[in-house]
Amino acid sequence: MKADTLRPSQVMSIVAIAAMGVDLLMVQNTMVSYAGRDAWISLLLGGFLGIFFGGFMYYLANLYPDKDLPQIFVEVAGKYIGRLLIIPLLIYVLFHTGLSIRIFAQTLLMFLLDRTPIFAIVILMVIVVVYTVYKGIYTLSGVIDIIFPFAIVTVTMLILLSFQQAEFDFIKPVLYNNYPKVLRGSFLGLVQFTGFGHITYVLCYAHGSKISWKWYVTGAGIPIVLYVALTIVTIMAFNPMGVISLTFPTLTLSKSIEFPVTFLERLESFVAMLWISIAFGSISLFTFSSVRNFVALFNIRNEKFVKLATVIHIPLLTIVALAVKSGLKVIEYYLKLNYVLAALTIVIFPAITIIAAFKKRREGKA
Amino acid sequence: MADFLSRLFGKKNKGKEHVPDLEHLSNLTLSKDAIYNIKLIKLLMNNSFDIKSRDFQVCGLALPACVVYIENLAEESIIRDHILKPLMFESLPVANTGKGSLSLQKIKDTMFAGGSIKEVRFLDETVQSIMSGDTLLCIQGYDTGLMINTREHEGRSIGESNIEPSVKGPQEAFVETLKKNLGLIRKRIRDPNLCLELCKVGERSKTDIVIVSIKGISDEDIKKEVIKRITSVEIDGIIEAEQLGQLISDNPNSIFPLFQTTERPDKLFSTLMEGRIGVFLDGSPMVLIVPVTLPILMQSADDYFENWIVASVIRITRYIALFISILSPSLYISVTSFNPGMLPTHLALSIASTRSGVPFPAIIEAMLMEVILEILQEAGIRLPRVVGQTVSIVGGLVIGQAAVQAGIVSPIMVIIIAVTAICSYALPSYSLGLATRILRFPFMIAAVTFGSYGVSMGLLFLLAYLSSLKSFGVRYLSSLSPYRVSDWKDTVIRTGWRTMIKRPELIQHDDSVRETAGKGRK
Repeated sequence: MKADTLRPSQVMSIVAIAAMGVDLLMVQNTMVSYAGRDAWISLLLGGFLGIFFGGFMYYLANLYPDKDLPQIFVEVAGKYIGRLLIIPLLIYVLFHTGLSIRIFAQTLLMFLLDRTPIFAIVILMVIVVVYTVYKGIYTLSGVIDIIFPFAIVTVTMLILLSFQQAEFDFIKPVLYNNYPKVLRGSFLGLVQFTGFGHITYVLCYAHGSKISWKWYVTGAGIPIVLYVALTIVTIMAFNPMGVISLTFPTLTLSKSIEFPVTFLERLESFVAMLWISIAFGSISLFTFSSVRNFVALFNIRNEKFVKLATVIHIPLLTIVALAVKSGLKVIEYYLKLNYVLAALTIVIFPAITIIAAFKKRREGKA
Repeated sequence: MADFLSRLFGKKNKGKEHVPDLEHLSNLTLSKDAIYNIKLIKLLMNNSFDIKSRDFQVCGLALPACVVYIENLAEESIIRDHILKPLMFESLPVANTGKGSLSLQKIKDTMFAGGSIKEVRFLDETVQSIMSGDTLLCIQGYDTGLMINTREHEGRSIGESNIEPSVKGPQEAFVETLKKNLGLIRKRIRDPNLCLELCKVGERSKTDIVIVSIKGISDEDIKKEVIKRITSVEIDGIIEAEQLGQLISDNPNSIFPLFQTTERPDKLFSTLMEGRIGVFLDGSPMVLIVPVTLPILMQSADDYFENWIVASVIRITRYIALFISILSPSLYISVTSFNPGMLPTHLALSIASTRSGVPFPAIIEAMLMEVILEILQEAGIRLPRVVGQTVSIVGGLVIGQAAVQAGIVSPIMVIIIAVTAICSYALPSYSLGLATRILRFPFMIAAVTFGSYGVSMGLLFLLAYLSSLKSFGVRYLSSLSPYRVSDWKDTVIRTGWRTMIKRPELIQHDDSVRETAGKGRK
């Protein structure tokens, strides 16, 4: 019988969905707050940077096709330094996941479940996510495959429908007296696409399938195009100052769409429902990465203990998600995590890639 | 003799009622004494009244022989006309003119007109063959017997399919007789690569199982796995293909069918052409088909006898029916209890006004109606057909109308439950329909607890569960995930025959190209 393997199209959808998590609802706010009306250019540049730095990771994953990122750390940097390097990665992924769940719960509280305790929303999400991860990467990729087309269609429809209220004047003049902020903002744009790094966690499951660069770039390109288009249309709909005042501009955008048909009076509720699946996909992928980090850090080999490491994420993620009481603080911490990510993306990953390349070359010569 | 019998049954006699076990016979052979052999066999079969034997002299010579068979399984006319008559009277010239003495080989080669004959030595295979309807011929002086096929194949004649009716397709359906069923498929596939492999299941029933596949099209690894699982089944007896399916399924606890059953030869034909494997079970009109995926379960035989556009639209409608049958009560509960704002104002007001006199919350109302519906469905199956119609009228129309008028349930709830029931009948797989009926309840609980968020999470959980399922190594959501564009031609839609050049990718084939009309026209 055929052995399970990830196909190129699955890697593409994983890369795309991983980058479209809870950020989908607030990316415009984060970017416009920094780069103003030219936020979309920062985001576009950030996307290119994301592909560039992701390229290091793609190359790294191809150097060790049977290992995931934390295992590569140990392989390249040695048993002790490698595990030491896993710690910031583990912290980032775990906290990013936990806080994403919290922001997700807060959003639902605002738009769908105003009387439900936040704990209940969080715990339900965590249980379903951990169940999916528990079933393995092939199950997870199967779920992502189904979610993916709905995610693309939903966001594309939202963008297209929002054009009816767009004012082109709000994004003009382009780049006028705004170069420094746009350039600096591109680094903020870069961290919006953290999901690209998942290529290093999943490539080792594509046994025998050659995942070409084009599949990776396609997967990375989809969220870049959608995010940039969403940011442009949001700025054009609400003007830059309006976008800054909105916590979740995407939902507000869907709320503002007017339909002549009375059946779709409350579009934002449907968008929120569809967004649940997108957020679920992204959070599941991050949880999977977190489990892999645990497995590598504690050198877990027995499959039973791998399952245990997965189950342990139920209390871990719940604690991280509910530890901070203030909703605004949660978003603040979530954004601050980007510094850890920036250090990992710009310094550690390229450094490990270069060392790995040298090591491989030396091994080749020997 | 006494020593031999005590050796044979010794272990079983200790503190237990005597039960002959075929395992103990595997090393024992027939003796040269024909009468003793017959007595021994009868003894092994507890001297049941339907075990018949007939002693005679071959060709009137002083060569004692004996036949033994089971009256209810063997065709007595075959025994009389093709065994006893030739041996006793018609073969005298052969016996007299031949050189040398009358040997077993000579008897076998020259005195029988037809039927399959095999030599047997060991008691286990001898007893098993007799219990399958064969007749044993023992000749004095030979420790080898001749097993002659005298199996009776009478049974229900081939008729229409009751479970899977088709509007335009062939009207033949499998029956309970294995030989007839195999004939139906042989008639359709005149390819020497059609492989039929026989094995037996059931410690006591020894039921014949035939595994059907087409060499070069089917995946040999899957076939080996099917045979491995079937031969490793340990059970007293097996009656139905569905029962066997559950025993060899990848996940017996799954409410989703991980194998397909059909009584349509044309359906089995199509699945064999896709590279899947069929399993016939003697005594069952259903054929087991593996592996199976969810999109395959959504396909109906009629899809292939209609124009591809019409078939595609119908198939999409079926997918919509699947979602409605699972989700409509839960969506109603979530919208009325948690998120009335999701509905347009006029519709929300209309629903609110119909529910104004109902004393129960939406969940109780829905559960009540669902339970009544399930009871009605069960009653409909159990009752005789004549009374069944009355039950559906009384249950569906009278009780529904009365419940609305009494203010116990709202009219919209009756509509929802009715639509749900109709949608579940639109599914081509009965087992899949049953799974959707069960799924409605957890979804309703999710809806009443978390509203539309609960329904969404329930769907994601279901998706993860379905994605984790496998049928003989093939993912249950194959074709939908991972994306196999060539397989999409026969998944949610069905494209024209000329475009379906390749066989489904979910199974590995040596010969992956179909001989299509399009290819032939080049």
